[in-house]
Amino acid sequence: MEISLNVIKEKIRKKMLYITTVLGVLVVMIFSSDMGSLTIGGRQIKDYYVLIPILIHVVNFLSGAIALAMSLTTVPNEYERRTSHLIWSRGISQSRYHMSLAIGNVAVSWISGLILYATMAVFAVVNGYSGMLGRIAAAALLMLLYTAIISMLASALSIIFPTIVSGVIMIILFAGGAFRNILILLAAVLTGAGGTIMKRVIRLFPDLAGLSRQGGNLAQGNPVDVHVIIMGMIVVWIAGIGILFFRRKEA
Amino acid sequence: MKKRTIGMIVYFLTGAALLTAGFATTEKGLKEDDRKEYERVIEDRKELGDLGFPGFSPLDYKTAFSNGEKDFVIDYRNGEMEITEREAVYEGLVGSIYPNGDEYEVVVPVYETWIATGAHEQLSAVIWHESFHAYQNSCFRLAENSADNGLSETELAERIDRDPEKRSLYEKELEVLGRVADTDKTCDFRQTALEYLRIAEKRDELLSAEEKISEDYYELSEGSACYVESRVVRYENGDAVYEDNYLKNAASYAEGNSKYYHHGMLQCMLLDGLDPEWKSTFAFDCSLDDVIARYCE
Amino acid sequence: MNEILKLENVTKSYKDKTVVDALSFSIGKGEVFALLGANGAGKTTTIKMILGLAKPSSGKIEIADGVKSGYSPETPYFPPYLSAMEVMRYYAGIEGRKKDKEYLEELLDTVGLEDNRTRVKDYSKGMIQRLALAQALIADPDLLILDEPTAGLDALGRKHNLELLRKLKERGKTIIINSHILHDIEAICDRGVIMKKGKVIDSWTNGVSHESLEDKFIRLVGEE
Repeated sequence: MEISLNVIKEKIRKKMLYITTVLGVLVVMIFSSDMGSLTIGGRQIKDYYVLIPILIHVVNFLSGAIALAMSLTTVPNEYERRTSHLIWSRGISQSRYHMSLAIGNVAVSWISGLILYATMAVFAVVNGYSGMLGRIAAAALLMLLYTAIISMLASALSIIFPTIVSGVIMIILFAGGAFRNILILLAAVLTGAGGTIMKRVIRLFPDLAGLSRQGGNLAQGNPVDVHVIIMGMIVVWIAGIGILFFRRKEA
Repeated sequence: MKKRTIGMIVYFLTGAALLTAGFATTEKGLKEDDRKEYERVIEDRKELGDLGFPGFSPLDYKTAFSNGEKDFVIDYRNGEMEITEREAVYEGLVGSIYPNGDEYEVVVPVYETWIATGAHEQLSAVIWHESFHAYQNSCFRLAENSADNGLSETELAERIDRDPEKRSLYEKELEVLGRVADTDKTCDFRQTALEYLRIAEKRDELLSAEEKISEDYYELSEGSACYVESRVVRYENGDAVYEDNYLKNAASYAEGNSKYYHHGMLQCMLLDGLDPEWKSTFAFDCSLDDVIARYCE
Repeated sequence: MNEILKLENVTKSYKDKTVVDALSFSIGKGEVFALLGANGAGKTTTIKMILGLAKPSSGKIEIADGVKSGYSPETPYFPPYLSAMEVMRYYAGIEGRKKDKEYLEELLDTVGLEDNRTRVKDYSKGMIQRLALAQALIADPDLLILDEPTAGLDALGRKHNLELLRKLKERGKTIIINSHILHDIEAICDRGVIMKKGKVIDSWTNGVSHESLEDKFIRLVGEE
């Protein structure tokens, strides 16, 4: 608990949370205002009800990026500053230590994601869609899962890989997951062995795009594919296994 | 028991529960989204009927949802969907028909792939479009009887796009035909048809034989299918989406092959204006220009 | 004297390099023991192995049952935005102790950090060193392992720390000190080992020889 709380405190004190969140809020404001009304396929989308699924994709992506930026360095920093010495020497197991750090990462990512969703909710009210608030709140739950996936995977990988390696792997996983639908399309267009390989590779990416789509469905009151949500939870669980069992050789 | 052991047991039990739930919710075979799209076609058919083309029903043709590896084929008989699975007959992203023995089958991408394309229209409308091709070829042998010396859509479009004179007259044709899509003005269909035919006649003199055959073929096959598709979208999504997706830019010249879809659709709409019953006797044995000319005699 | 810690043929290698080579010694309860040697002699690695921060490649390290240890690192890092009391509460919390403010204040007073509200970012190196010592004492350890506990301290600070170590010794604590400051070692330690290139090259017992520790050290370690 103390370790997790300290992670949150540190990110807040180091202003990392503020900077990334302010940037995120700006993007949400731009997308939510008339100034940034989207043009898709030559059609302008100004109706907030229609805009909200797209906004959810954008906000989830931003939350994921913030989660990645904040989670990747927490574990390596602990070892680099040798704070780990004072933890290990107290007989705290690596599992407990790493899991506490990961929980801190997840909590910080959630705080930042919830701020972005709150901004979105404000704009919903401004645009006269206060009736959607409950459904936006429900969609926010899926954002929590989305960012937990990124944060937990980044925490797990950062235990065993140098930051640069875990960073590259995470960017690939994040981009692949967030734009999974585009990859599916590419795989569908590709023929031969390339297409087959790509279809297999896509399965390795967490379905972040699917989670955002379900968030959009929730916000619009459409049916939700529970399978996508369960698969997201399984990814978090697997990342948790990594955090519990990945070991550093030395503190 | 130690706290840590209890924690681990709880963690692994949670994992087991999640995995079980994951397996339980995995869709095998035809996915729910694809099924819904087909059910939409069934519902549309009840309301739209044959759209004026005698004997046309998208439900008469087997429809395969393809993920590029597997096809999930729906055979709709006596109000029941019979679903079978097979190796994909086409690789890649395909909306097409597939000749299977004496029958033509419809092949469309699975919904998951379809929405990834960012397409505006419902997949159900694409099923209507492709099944209309199946109708053209099952009942009228359209492909078999036409375009032996024809050019591919892409090649034809490239040739026209590159030739300023042919292109300019095609733009004029579209401009005149576009009057039928102008919802703000009433259209004098006969006058429009005559004006259109005059331009078409002048332009035909510039086209080689293969260009003429091919253009007539694509306007007929794709244009009429686009016309059917647009009716379905209008019914499913309302006038605003219909006008936005099909009418707004139909009369604008676009490089590539989409102009044939729009041109043919506008020709069908012109024919609707000349005689709403034109489809009842149409046997896909001549070009749409010929049919228009016949109504202007 | 009861043995509190025993190392038997402890070796630590990284790839092809052996940094601690067949190290053996034992420490009795209440002893103040010095690990001596030049930089790279393997002292810190030895400490890390005793604390469980690194695993020996071979050999055995035995710590008597029920012995609690405390550790003060050479270059401690504490979150700069925390005050000394917050740092103490943090580590007390990690150890699962009741965060008794008075007890923690007393520990901070003991190491000379009466003002426990100042943030770590405003601390001098010496104050951070004292804080490191204070956090090592939270569990009231039987075995205290101190890596360069007087490094970076001014004369007054050093004197204060040495007095504190003496008091801890009087209270029966077993202490292992790794230090370069041989004068301090002589002032507080009972005995120790001199290491070179991972091996024990000699042992030292306070007050046994006429040769000063400094002379002995230079004689043994200084000759390359």
